[in-house]
Amino acid sequence: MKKYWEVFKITWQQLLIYRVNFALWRLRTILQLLLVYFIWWSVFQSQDKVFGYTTASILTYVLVAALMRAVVLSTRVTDMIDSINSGNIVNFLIKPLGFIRYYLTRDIADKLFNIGFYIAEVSLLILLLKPPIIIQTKLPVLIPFFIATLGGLVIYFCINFIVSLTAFWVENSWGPLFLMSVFLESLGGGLFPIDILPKPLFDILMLTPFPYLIYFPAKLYLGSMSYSEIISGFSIIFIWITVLVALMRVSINAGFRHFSAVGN
Amino acid sequence: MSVISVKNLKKYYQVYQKEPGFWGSIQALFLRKYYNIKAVDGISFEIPEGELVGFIGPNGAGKTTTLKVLSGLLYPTSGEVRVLGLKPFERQKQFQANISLIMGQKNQLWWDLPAWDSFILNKEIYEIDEGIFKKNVAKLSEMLGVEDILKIPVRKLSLGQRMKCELIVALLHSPKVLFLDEPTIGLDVVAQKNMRDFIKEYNEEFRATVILTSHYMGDVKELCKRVIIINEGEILYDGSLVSIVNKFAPYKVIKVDFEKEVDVEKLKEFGEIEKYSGNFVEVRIKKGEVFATATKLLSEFDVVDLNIEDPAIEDIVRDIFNAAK
Amino acid sequence: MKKYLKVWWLYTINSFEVQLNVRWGLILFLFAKILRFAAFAFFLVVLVSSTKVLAGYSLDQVILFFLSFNLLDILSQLLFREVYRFRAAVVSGNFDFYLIKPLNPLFRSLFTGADLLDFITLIPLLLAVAYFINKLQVVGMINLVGFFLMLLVGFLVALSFHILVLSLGILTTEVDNAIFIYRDLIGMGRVPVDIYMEPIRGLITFIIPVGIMMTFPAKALMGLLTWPLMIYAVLFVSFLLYLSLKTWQFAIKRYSSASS
Repeated sequence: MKKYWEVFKITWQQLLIYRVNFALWRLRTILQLLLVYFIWWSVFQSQDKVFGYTTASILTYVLVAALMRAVVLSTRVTDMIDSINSGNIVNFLIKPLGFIRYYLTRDIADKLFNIGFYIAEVSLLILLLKPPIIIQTKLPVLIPFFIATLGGLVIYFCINFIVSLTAFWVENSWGPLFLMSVFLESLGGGLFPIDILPKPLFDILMLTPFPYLIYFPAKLYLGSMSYSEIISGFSIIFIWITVLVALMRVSINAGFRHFSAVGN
Repeated sequence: MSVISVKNLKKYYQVYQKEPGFWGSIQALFLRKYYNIKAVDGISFEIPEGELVGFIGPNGAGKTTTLKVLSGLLYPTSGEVRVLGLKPFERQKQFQANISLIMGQKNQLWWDLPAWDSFILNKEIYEIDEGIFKKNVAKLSEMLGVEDILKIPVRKLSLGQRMKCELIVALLHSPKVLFLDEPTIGLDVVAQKNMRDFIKEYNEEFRATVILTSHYMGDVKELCKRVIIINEGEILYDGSLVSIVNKFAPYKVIKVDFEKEVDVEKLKEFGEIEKYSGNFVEVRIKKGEVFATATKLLSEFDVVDLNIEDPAIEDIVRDIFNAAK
Repeated sequence: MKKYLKVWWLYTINSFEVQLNVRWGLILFLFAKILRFAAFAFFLVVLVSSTKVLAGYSLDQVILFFLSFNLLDILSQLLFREVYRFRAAVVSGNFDFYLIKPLNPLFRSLFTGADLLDFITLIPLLLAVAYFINKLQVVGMINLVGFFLMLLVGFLVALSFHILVLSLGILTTEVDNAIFIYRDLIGMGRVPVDIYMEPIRGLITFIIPVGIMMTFPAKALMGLLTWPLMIYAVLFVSFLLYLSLKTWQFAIKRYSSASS
């Protein structure tokens, strides 16, 4: 256990060393937040209700979606690509260090760091812009919200893990990662709550893992989902986690086998 | 007239240090301790046209820094530098068109494309005439024996083949001055030999002035008549390879084979023992005492064979660095 | 000049050949870009069809803003692609090769990685711009001239930003996502900057020229941009370009005196 604590500390140290980099990364997320925030703010200058959302509910959605980005989407798993390409990945074969556990530790360290900054930034934003927001206090809403967030975190971890592992076979793993980030941004609820989309498209999207990273938890927080929607949502999260964890384990074994066989 | 002239060149730069551990990182966040490194600290030398000079020194001695100043990559902290009568740092076209820099650890060839594509690109960059370009490629690839690999993607080549292609691309524009930084690093013995032969041949055939850094004494011993020894930014020696021995080694080595085993204690009075294995000994003797010692050895023991030699250059250079520490 | 065109073309062809080695990655990138464009366009259409206006603009006008944003964005990504690889060149030391050759290092760092693939996305985009110009019934040469002038200004703003990013890449190797800051910053211009609350609107119009770059061209086309603002834009970009070139020279000098 102690060695993972060291991994955790090293991850924070790296974030501190590349402090300018990290500050700029936070600046990026603020800029992305501002764009979405103001599109919606501007829309509600002339109306009270759009697609069933009020000013308060949509702006709350936008801010919670930003939290999801900090919690779910900040990751260090993709560092794996470089370490596969450079061959450093061999360390996991010769050292008593859990492959998944190592990256999970780094991920958690990174997320905690980002959450800290998110809280500071959003507090500042709320102070400056004074948006009407919904502070959720009902435990029956908050508990599912936390569980869904954890679920999203695990799903994203697995997907990133599997995509990064492709570096064992192909030279460029950034293509699929970029595609995935676009999917998340556009169809996972980063830009807008996806229930404003036409119903058939919405239903199909809800079967993919993407809405469960941003849209589903953020929507849960608003407390306006029906029981049936919540239950089907959690069932799909459960199914995806089962499938992805299995796939991840298979890919790890296959990847290392390929690595030892080809020896690149 | 000298092709390269360096007067009292200094190059300092700043680095910062960080205490290890997490708290060190926090400290470094607010306060970084900077200090000056004197990479090159007041060196002077002149190199005439067509000379092949070797720079030797341990890691961090200032070899690469000097080379980078000479090729115009670094701005000197102080001192005067002229290459082909020009100031390298101004990076005038006339200067750039006449020099080349080859770094053993870096490459400029396109990794995924055949070397040929990189040649064509450099032909345009250096504005090389079509006829001259063809002639140079033919000549250089023949000298290096790589005519048949120029159309294979670089990533498929061996390190030795890749270095050869790196050489060609760096020499296409027939530079008058050539800077080679560790050109043989990582190469196997055969490839090292090929590389050395080529450098020598190129230097002779094109009357190019060449500066070469290396920490393989082999490179320098085989190629350079003149060496400059640098340590901690200062020149320790500048002169012919042969006279290093006279200057730094006021001793000779006597190697003796005995008829039968000799007690090492009995040999100690003759001089400093370098090697000993029962019936063989290697002793360092001050130059003036060589004859007397040899006579004494021959009279006191049953000697099969006795040789008096100059010490190996490698040993002398190692001693110089050790003494400088 | 002829030499630089030739060299540019050779670099472009070489980069394209290299890209072809990773075909499927290439297709994914292209697909992702189109998806991103389509999703945002779709969002705007769904949103503004329902609300009728966004910050006082009609749906067609909002789309035109979005299209002219994409025009500049794709054009600068296409031409300045090499900027994205610049940090790696500095870190690995290959930047040294940029400096010893008789080829302007700024030219080498900016232009030598042009992406032919982006041309594919440029063509339908130009058609769409033409279609909406026609649909909005833009009349008068003045509006068109203003449009192209402001596009040129926007392009020069992009150029200056890229030069600043390169300079930053030399001055500190700690930063590896400065170019993405730029992308997110200009990304705010996907919608007319009028949607932002003051003082953000003022900030991104006059100080960080996202507004000049992305909103002015479409406004000029619709005849909504006054002369003083156009003159301001021209003066601003001249200053910005001058500033970025000075910064580049400073960075080069620092590189030569600081690195080891």
